[in-house]
This record gives sequence, C-alpha cells and structure tokens, in this order.
Amino acid sequence: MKSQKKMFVRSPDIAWQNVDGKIVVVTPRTKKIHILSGCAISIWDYLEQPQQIESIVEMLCSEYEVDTQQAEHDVDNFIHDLLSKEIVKVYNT
Amino acid sequence: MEDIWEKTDSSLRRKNIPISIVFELTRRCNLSCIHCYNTKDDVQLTMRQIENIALGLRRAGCLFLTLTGGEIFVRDDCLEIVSLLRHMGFDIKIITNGTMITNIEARRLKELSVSEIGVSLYGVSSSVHDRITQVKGSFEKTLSAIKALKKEGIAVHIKCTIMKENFAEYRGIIELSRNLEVTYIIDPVISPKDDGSNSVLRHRLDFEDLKSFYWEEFDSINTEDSSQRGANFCDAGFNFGAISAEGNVYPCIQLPLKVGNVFENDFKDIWDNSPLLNDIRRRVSSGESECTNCNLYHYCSRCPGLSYLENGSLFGPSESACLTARIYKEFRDRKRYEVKN
Repeated sequence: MKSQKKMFVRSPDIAWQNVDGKIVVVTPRTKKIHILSGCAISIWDYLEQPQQIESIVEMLCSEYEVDTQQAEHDVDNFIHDLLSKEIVKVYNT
Repeated sequence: MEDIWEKTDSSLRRKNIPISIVFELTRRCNLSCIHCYNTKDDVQLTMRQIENIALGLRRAGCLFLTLTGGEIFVRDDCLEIVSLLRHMGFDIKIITNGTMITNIEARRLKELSVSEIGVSLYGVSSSVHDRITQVKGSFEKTLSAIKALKKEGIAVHIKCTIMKENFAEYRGIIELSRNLEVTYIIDPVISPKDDGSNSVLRHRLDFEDLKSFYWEEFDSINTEDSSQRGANFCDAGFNFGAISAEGNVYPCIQLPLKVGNVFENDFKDIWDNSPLLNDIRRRVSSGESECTNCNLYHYCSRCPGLSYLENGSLFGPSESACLTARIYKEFRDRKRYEVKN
C-alpha cells in the first residue's frame, strides 16, 4: 500500500483532551468534535511521534490479538479517516 | 463549534469535569469602558504561574480555554502564552477589545489555530464607541482588528453590550456584522462592579428600550422553542468554571463566589473537593430554587451569577432576569393572541 511508506503524526492545529478515558479532539478550522475510544486511543497515543502505518500495525498486533492483514486494512482506513478529518497530517521531515 | 455533550454520552456531563474554563490572564486594560465591572486593574499572572495553572487544568480534564482580561494584548507575552497553551492541547478562544491587534498579531493567531475571537465593539461610529471606551481612536483600531482577523480566516464575533449610551446603534452593529461576515452577540446585561458597587447599573437600558430590543430578538429566533428556559441552574461549577488573575477559582467569571485559589491548592483538588462547590452541586441536584412557584418560571433564563451579585442568593431571583422573563411572557402572550385572532 502506498500510504505505508508515508509517516503520519497528530496535526498541530487540533486541540484535544482525555475526557474520562476517551480522547476528545477538536479541529478548530472545521469546528468539529471527534471522539476516539477503544484501540483508537492506542493509535492516538502512538501518533504523538511520526509513525508509518507498518509500525502502527506492529504496535496494535503486539497489544491486541488481531490478524496482521486485517490490522493493516483497518489501520489504513482509520488513518485515512483521520487525515480527511484533519486530525492527523502527513509528516514531512 | 459542535456541542461536546451531543457527541458524548450523557453520563459524562454529570461527572463534573471542568471541560470549559474562562482564564483571566490580567486585570490590566488599555480602555476604560464606562460599564466595566473591573476595579482591580493592577493584577496580572506571570508566565510561570500561567504555565503551572494550565498544567493543573490539563490534569483536571479542561479542553476549552477562553482567555480574557482586562485586555490580554496589553501583555507583551500574550502571543507566547497563546502558543504555550495551544501546544499543551487546549482549544483557545479569546475575548479582546482588538485595539492592539494588527495584521501581524492576526497572522500569528491564525498560525496558532485559535478557534474563535470575540471582539468588543459598542457602536458603528467612533463618537459612540469611543465615548463608551473613553479612549479616542479605539473604534478605528477595533474595526481594523476585526477586518485583519477576518482576512486571516479566523472566526470572529462582535460582542456588544447595549446600554443607554449606544442603544440607537445596535441595529447598525447587526448590519455591520453581516457586512463583515462575522457573527455577533448583543447583550443588554450589565453586571455590578467586582467591589460590589452598583454604580455601573445606571447604564442599563430603560424598560421600554429593553422590551423593544428583546421583542425584536425573540421575533428573529424560534420563539416556540422555550426548552432552554426555566429558572434553572446552568453548567457553572459543573463543567464550566473560571480562574481570575488573582488565582481564585470561581464556578463562573460572572459568579464571583471564591471556591479556592490555585496558589494554595491544585486546581483539580479544588474542583473535586471544594465544600462550597460540592454544596452548590448538591443543592442544584436536589432541585433547590426560590423561583419554582413564580408564574414567570418557564419564561425565565436566570443567571445564578447575576442573582448572586444583585441580591446575594444563588438560587433566588434577580431583578434583570425577572424583567427579561416578564418581557418574554408578554411577547409570548402577544404571539398567542395574534395566532388566535
């Protein structure tokens, strides 16, 4: 997958907070509020530093009992969802 | 901005997480508005104090910070503070008079992704605005700031307190807002001064002007929906709070009932354990109110802060709320009469 070579990181434009075990993310430009829960929080924590999809999949597979191929598919979809919502961005070195 | 409570389950709202805090960075101001409540214009938090308070707010679960003063841009380190707070993860809104915001500040605020800026404007002419701020030239500067912020694509809303001195201009403010493509809040509420003095209340609108203003406002919104009305308690002290430039913690900036001080205790400790705050929550949860038998109850949107300031009771009536409820009832009665006939 093409996006596996890219690195992703939390967008510097967002505001966020852990509210009672859920991550509440605000995207100021769109004025939208997004809620992350479950294993999305593990990915969120991991995205504090730039990460490739491959490394996120590895992290998830070590934390959860999940099939690698399924995880790749799910993470790819999830990251692209976060990209479209302006919660993460492609990291440029 | 979307409503956080519509995005989360309702149980979260009852956990008293201070999700939204008004943070007064300074009492200093470069204007001298005739209706202002602020009497302590020499108090200001240091950068180190702000950072420590903000760390405490993060630990307590705060997400939305509204920065206010005084006038926060009188501080040379204002943008540095905004940058610090943004990097800590807060959503930042700012309340300002705009007189110290040029294209340079506007650009930086855009870079910092500040979510909204409320700018105080009291008229559509310098003669009216400058008479209220008591500083010549302030109108031009404030207007320039609104334009500069708008040009950067920042969400701006004009905040206008209407009083006797600018009543004739409020329709002009609405028109100006529309022309500038910004939102507006026009509010006739004037609070007593923070030293308890009622001297500024002489600027409040007379009944007929207040009625005329509200009827026009009620007419422009969906007045059938009165679900938000009822002389209830608001989110103050539950999910909403304030910290003053002295480090005092309040349930709301409008409700100066000190529940602790962040230089004596950690904010989360104050918020979770203040006997006064817990007493308020208990009394609110038990439905305490001095207004339940009032025939205006369902027409009222009482502010507990104003009630406290005006008559010393959190759960009782306030002169301004009763007046507004009376006007709203008259309006609703008239509308019902018009429908019938």
